[in-house]
Amino acid sequence: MLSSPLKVAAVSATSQPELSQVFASAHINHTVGEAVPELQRTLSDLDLHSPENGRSSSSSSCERTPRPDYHTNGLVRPRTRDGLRLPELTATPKRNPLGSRRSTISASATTTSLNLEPADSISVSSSVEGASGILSKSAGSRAPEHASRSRKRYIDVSTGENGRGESSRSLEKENRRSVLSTQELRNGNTVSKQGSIEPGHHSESFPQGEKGSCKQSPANSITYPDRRYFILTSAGKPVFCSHTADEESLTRMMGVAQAIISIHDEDGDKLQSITHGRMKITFLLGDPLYLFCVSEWNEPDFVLRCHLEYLYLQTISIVTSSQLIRMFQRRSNFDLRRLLDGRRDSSKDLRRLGSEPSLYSLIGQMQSDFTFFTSSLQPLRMSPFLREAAANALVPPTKISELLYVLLIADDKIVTLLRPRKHSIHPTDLHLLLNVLSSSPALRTAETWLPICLPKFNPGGFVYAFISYIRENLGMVFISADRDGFDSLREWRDGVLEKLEKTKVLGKLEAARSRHEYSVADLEIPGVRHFWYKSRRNVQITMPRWDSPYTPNSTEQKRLITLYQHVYDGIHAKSGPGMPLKQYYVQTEYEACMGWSTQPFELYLTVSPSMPKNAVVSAANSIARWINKEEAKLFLRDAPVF
Amino acid sequence: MATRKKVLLKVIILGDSGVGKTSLMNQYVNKRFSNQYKATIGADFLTRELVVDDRVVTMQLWDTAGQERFQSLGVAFYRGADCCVLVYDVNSSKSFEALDGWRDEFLVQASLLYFSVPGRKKERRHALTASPHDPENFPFVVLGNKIDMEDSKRMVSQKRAMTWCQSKGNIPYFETSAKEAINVEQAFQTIAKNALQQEAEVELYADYPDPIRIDSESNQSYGCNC
Repeated sequence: MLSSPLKVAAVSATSQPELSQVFASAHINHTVGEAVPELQRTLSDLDLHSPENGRSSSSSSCERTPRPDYHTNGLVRPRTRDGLRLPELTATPKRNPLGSRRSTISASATTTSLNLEPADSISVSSSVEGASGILSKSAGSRAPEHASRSRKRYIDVSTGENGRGESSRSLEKENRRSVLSTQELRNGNTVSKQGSIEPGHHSESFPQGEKGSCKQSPANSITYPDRRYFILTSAGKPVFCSHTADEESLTRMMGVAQAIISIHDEDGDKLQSITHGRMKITFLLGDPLYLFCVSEWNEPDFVLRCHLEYLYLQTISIVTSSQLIRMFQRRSNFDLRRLLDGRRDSSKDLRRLGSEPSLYSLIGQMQSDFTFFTSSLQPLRMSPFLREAAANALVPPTKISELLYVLLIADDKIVTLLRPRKHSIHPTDLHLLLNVLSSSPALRTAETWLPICLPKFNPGGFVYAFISYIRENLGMVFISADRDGFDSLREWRDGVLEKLEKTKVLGKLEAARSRHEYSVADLEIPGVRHFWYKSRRNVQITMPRWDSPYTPNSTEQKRLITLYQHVYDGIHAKSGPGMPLKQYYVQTEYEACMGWSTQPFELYLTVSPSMPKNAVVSAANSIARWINKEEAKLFLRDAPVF
Repeated sequence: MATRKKVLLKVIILGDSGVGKTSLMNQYVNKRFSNQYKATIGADFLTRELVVDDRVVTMQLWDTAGQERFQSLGVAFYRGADCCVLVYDVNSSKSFEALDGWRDEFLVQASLLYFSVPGRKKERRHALTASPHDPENFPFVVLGNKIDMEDSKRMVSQKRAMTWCQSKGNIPYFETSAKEAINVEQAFQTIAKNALQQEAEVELYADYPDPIRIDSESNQSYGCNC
C-alpha cells in the first residue's frame, strides 16, 4: 500500500501515452544541443536506491503492487509490514535527473516524438536469482535476508511536467502526498483500516478523513484495455505480438526493449517491471527468449508473471525447450518466426506477427479463466455415476505400452482423466494441451497424431497426442510416448467408442454438456453476486457463470477478476512479505469481496459492499455447504489409474 | 529448408562519434539529411524493407552512440547480429584508426555471451560462441563517409582503407556521402546481402528430440490426485 502514492500520483497525468510510444525508442535527444538525460544517468540513479547503500530501507515494499484503494475492514488483520516504514520517502531520489530538464524521446525521424515521463519505477533483480526465481516470486515477496543478496534497485523519477522537478526532497514528498489525496478524492475511495488485531503494524499513513467525501467516481472511467503481450528473441528480433502492429514500429520497439534489458543485464541484473502511471510492463527474461506484457489493469504482479510463464511454456510445447536452446546456441541470430509463424504475408502493411493460433487463444483464455493462476482444473459438472461409467470405458488394455494419459473432453472441459499409477499430471500441462485443442478447429474434423511437448512432464522432448473427436464437442485424447503408437491407439479408440455407445454414455454426456453451467442464483443465497471455490485436495475449482453485471468481457467482469486476484494475492501473500491470511475482506465502492482459506478449500465470494460482515460470513458458510453437497458433481475424484 | 519467408536482419552500426552513422541511416531510410549534429544517446532503431535476391528482407538497423559516455548498452546488445557496419570519416584519420578497436569490441562482446535456461531452479549457463562462430568470417562492411567534402580535407586515402579491409578478411568497402546520397543505397544493399548469408538456414527438424520413455521418469510429486 505504501507504494501507491508514487504510482497513484502518476495517474494524475491524464494522458496515457500509447504503448508503442513509450517504447518508441531509447534514443533520447536533448532539445538544447548537448544531450544530457541519457539512459545511463537514469540507471546510475538506480544505484542510489540500492539497498546495499543502506539508503532504501525497504525496496520490497516499494515493489509491492499498489492495491486499489480499498476499505479493508474488520474481519482480518491487515498484513503486517514490520520494518517497511515509509519507503516512499527513502525511495525518493535525492537528485532529480530528468525533472529539471525537458527531455524529448524520439525514435527516429519516422516516428512521433513525445515527451515521455520517465518510468515511475523500474525494478530489477539480480541474475543470481535465476529465471525461475523471478517466475515464482515477485520481487516483493523476498524475505528480508535475501534483500541484500538480490540487489534489488528501485528508481522513482519525476519530471518537471508535474511541477515537481525543482522541488526539494521534502517538498516532493508533500506533493506526492497531496496528489495522492486528490486522487483518492477523485476515486471516491479511501484507505482505512479498522478492527485490526495488530494495530501496531499499521504503517499506512494515509489520511482517513476523506472517507465518503466524494461520490463522483472517475473510477467509472477506469478502463481495462486489452493487455499486450510480446515475445522477442534475446537478439531483439520479434517473435510474437498479441495485437496487430506494423512491423516497423514493432521491430523498433523490440530493439528498445532489448537495449533496456541489455543495460540491466550488463550489471548482472534482471529487469522485472517498469511502471509508468497506470501502465505496468512486466518482463520474463530467459535465454533465448524475452517476454513482456503491458497492462493497465493494476493487477497483482503474480498474475502477469503467470501469464508470461504460460506463454513461454506454450511456445515450448510447440518446439520443446531443448530444441529451442539448441537452435539459438547454434545461431543466436535465429529468426524464430520462421518456425512459429504459420501464415506470413509480406504484401500487407498491417499484419499479425507470429500468428501462432495457440498463443492467441491462450492469451484470450487467461484473461478470465481462473484455472491458470490457481494452477487447477475446472472439470465438467456432471453426475458422478456418468463420469465413472465413462472412465470405466476408457481403462486401457495392458497391451498398450508407453501410454501416459487418457482424457475425455467435452467443450474443452475435462470429463475424466486416467493416468498411470506412477505419474500424476501437472495442471499446467493440461492447460497447454486443452488450449491447443480449443485453438485448432481442424483437430475436430479428423483423427490427429500431434507431437506436443508437455513442459512440466518433460521439457526436452515430445509426447504424442492421439486426438479423436467423437461428436463435435466431445473428444478423446490419448497421450503416448510411443512415436509409432498411432495404429494401436486408433484400434483401441474403436473399442472405447463401442463401449461408450453400448452403455449409452455418449448420449448422456451430450446432455450433461448443456447442464455444465450454473448460475449463482441456483444456490438461492441472498446477497451473493458471484463466487469461486477451489478444492485443495482435488486441485480443482468451480465457479458459476458470469452473470450480469459481470458479463463476459465487461468492465465489471474485469474489475471483479482483478479484485479477486488481489484477494487471492492477500490470502496467499504472493507479493508481500506478510503471512498468508485465513480470511481477507476487501470492500470497494462497487462490491465487497471476501476470501476464506481453510485446510480443504478456498472460497472467494462477492457481495454488495453494504452487506454486514456477519451476513457475508454466513453466506460463505452457505456456499461451502452447497458445494459440499454438490462436490461429487463439481469435481473429478477417484478417476481410475492404470 | 527452402524458405520463402521474410527474414529479419539485425544490423549493428558502429564507429566514432560524428562520422555520420545516424546520418547514413537517415539518408537510407528516410532520404533525409540534416547538417545539425545531434549525439545519439544509447541507441536508435530504424527499419527498412528491401528485396535481396528475390527475398523480402526487413533490415533492423541498430544505430549506436559513438560517444564513449553514451555507450555501454551492455553485452547483450550485440547478441545475434547478422551484420556489423563500421563507419569512419574519410576526413579524420583518428576515426579510421579507431576501426580496429570497434571491430575488436564487437567480436569480443559478441562472443562473450551466455546462455541460460528459464524456468529452472538452477540457472544453467553455457558459454556461447555467439553468431560469430568464426570471427574471421563474420560479415562486416566498412563505410568511409563524408566524401562530399573537398579533396584537400581528405585524410584517409581509398588505398589505405582498402588495404585495411583486405587485411581483415576482405571486408567490403564503400565510400559514401550521407549528405549527397552517394553510394548509400549500394552500400546498404551489400550489407543486407552479406547479412542474409549470415542468417541461419538452420535445419529445423534435423535433430528431432530424443524420444521420451515414460517409465524412466522419476515419480513426480505434483498435480491433482484425481
